[in-house]
Amino acid sequence: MLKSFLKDLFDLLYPPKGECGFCGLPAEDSLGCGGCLELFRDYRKQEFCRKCGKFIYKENVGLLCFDCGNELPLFSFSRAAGLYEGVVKDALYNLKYTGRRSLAAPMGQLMARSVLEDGRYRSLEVIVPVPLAQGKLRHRGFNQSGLLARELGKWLKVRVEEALVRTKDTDSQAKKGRRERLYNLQGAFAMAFGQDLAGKRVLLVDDVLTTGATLNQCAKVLIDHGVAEVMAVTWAAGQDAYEILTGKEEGL
Amino acid sequence: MEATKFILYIIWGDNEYIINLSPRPEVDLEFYRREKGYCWGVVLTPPLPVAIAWEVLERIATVEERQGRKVEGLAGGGGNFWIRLVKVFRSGVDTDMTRLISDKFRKASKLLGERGLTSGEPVELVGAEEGVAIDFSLVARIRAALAGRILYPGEIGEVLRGRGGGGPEDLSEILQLMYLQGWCEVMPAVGWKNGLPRCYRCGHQGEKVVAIDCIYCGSQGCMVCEECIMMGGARTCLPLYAFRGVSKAVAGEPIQAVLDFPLTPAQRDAGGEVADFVAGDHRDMALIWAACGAGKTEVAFEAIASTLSRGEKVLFAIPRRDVVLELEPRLKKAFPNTVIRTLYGGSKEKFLEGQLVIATTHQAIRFYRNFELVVLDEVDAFPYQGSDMLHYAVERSRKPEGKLVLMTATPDRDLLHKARSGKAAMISIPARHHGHPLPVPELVQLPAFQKDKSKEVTIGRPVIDFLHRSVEGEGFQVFVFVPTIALAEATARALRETLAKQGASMEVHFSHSKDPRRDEKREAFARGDFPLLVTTSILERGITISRCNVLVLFGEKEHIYDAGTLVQMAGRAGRTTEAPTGTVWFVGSKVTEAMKEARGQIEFMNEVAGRKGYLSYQLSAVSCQQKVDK
Repeated sequence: MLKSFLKDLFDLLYPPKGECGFCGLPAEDSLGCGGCLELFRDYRKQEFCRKCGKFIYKENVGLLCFDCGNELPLFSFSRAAGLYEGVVKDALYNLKYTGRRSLAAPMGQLMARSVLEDGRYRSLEVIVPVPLAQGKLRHRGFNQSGLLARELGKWLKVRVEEALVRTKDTDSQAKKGRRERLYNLQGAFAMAFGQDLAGKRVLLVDDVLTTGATLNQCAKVLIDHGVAEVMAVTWAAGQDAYEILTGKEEGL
Repeated sequence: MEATKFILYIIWGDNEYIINLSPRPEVDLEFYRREKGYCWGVVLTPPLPVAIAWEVLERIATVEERQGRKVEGLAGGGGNFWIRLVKVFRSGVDTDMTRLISDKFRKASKLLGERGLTSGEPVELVGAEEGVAIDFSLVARIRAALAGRILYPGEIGEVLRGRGGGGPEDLSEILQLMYLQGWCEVMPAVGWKNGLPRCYRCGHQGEKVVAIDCIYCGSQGCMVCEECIMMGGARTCLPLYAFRGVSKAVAGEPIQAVLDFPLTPAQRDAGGEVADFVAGDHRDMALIWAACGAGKTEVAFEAIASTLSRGEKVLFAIPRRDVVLELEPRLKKAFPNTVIRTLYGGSKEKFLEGQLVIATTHQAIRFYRNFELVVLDEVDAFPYQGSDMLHYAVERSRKPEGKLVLMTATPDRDLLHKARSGKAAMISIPARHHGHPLPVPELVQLPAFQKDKSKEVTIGRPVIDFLHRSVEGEGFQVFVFVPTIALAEATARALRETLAKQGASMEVHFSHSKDPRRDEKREAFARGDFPLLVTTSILERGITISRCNVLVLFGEKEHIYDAGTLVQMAGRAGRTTEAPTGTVWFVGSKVTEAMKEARGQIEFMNEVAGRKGYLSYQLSAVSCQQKVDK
């Protein structure tokens, strides 16, 4: 009794620190611990492909990444909050597969920071999440891109429309090569019934960009329906393949 | 997992009414018609997520009303004499019922309104037309399969399919009947307690229960528990069905543990004490405090055997999966005629019944009052330590009258306090099988090795000398423990450079939890392929290297090196008969309290061993006592 009272008193005087959603260490900020926030600040400063937002090496500043160099995507440009590895990858895994939905809030907020720091996004009018197939939605219980989009909408003060639907329950993209991914997605998306975004500037939201195939297909559908411009933002993006192909691997 | 929605109803007969909830109220009506002859019912609410229905029920109905409240003319009325008299002239209960129904309905609508839900109108409940057909063989199968379990409806379906033979897709009807019979309890997976959201599956009450937009129940206020989400998310709209365990009342053949090696005197004595505790002690918890490497597992065998002989069930729980896998063959060998199940994430025996269950502590979350004896090994290990969820799960898996035996080499303050205050029985195994005392660590104070800015590590002269002495002098291998992954790499690099400069040809490797080749390196080190392994505390437990010394660096990092971790690391030395001694160094820029406490615990163990006469070598009881006195 006394013990619990003393504990309550102590907690009142020195509020217990929250847990960083990304790494589990104590954090003062609801967003995350100092270390993780520093990491995301670093990511925002890193060089990226001006088209798809993949992270590129310093020597290639101003160039497009390997994939965009081959074939330009249909969306205008994309940014990512972090590189798809370490805590960034873990966070997405925990959100998507473990189901820790509370992670969507800090993740969405960090994505919003990337968007706000980038002047190119200034004109956006509507946020559209990349949809999930019905079967997968029933299984998982939520659409992670939808959760991120909602958080982004809150921070950017822009309305969110679930304007796209997935018409084909495609196999997971995760274990496929680039060519297969592109083929896998042919005709997988369509405009939702009664949605009209003609002439609008749209921000597409997805969880991760690897080849950009998913975003590209979504952008195609939107552009076909008269959308003025499609921008994109993702939680994570891969590293440009260019350096690896020329033999200079990361860190070696 | 799909949601099951529950409906609140009132069912009444001539002189009694019941307020309760059900996914299929017509089943309840049919049940009460057969059992008690009640024939009227009214549905009070639309289908609701189970937690909301539960909450409304608790607020509008008393416990008595939920179990059946008698109302008989004057006796049941109460209040004003004239009103009572009027009631007598009216036709008894029915008129009371209309008032009662409208009263309860108003209360329920108000509560639902607070949650932004509409309640419609009370609807008369009509019994199932064709009657409710009860598949008694299925009921029997469910009872047998689910005894001692607490599961979601989806998991129940999985159990039935896993045990062969199907069942209906929708089990809600049959489960409701079992609930009405009193064979199981129903509760929401996430509900409210004292106004705060609480997960009834893992016991978590607090901020990890978060609100979501649920696509299964369609309500905005649905909540999910993120504490136990790894084990399948508990939601406001998911019911949990809890079936109490049943044990065979009749004792079978007496069971003896088969061991192909003799127990040490210390183990034998402790084993007897544990068996006595389980057989008859007024306390329900015992703490076995064993020296590292004293062989605590076998100590519980006698108690396990006697419990099994009585036809009762035993859970052997360990926080870590690799230890579960390692223990399985040992227990199967010791209890060859017992049905043993091994449960861990991904195990195929998850829903099978067993007399003796070996499981990770996480798996205990699916058991409900099932075991007469729960033996919990490595209480102080991650993730059990500090996890309220696992404590709750292990505690709930035990029958209310069951016994809990906790085993550890490094009890924390809380456990020691329980033992000293007499709440838990304390049993110690202070000596290893070879009869040598535990190596007592030397506390070495050396200036910091790490230059923080450059993240470089320099290795001090005394440490290098220690390594030379161990490897080249004694021919021992050395465990070098460091607190972080980054330091493991940096220290290994620094060691390589320093040793190379001196022209010494010692191979150094490092390993940590994120190292993909960690098992490979561990095995190579165990074979003696290289002399120095720099590692984080992942290897602090469960590895035996015959001839080794232990070096703990950066001992000042107290938040990682608590006393328990230090004792475990020191416990790597001197484990085998061929090399029963070893040297242990705790090196830090300062000597911390944890270091002193760890040394104190080890010395205490040696002292107890000496006093009880378990030490056959070198240190006699007298000299040990003298050392302690000093």
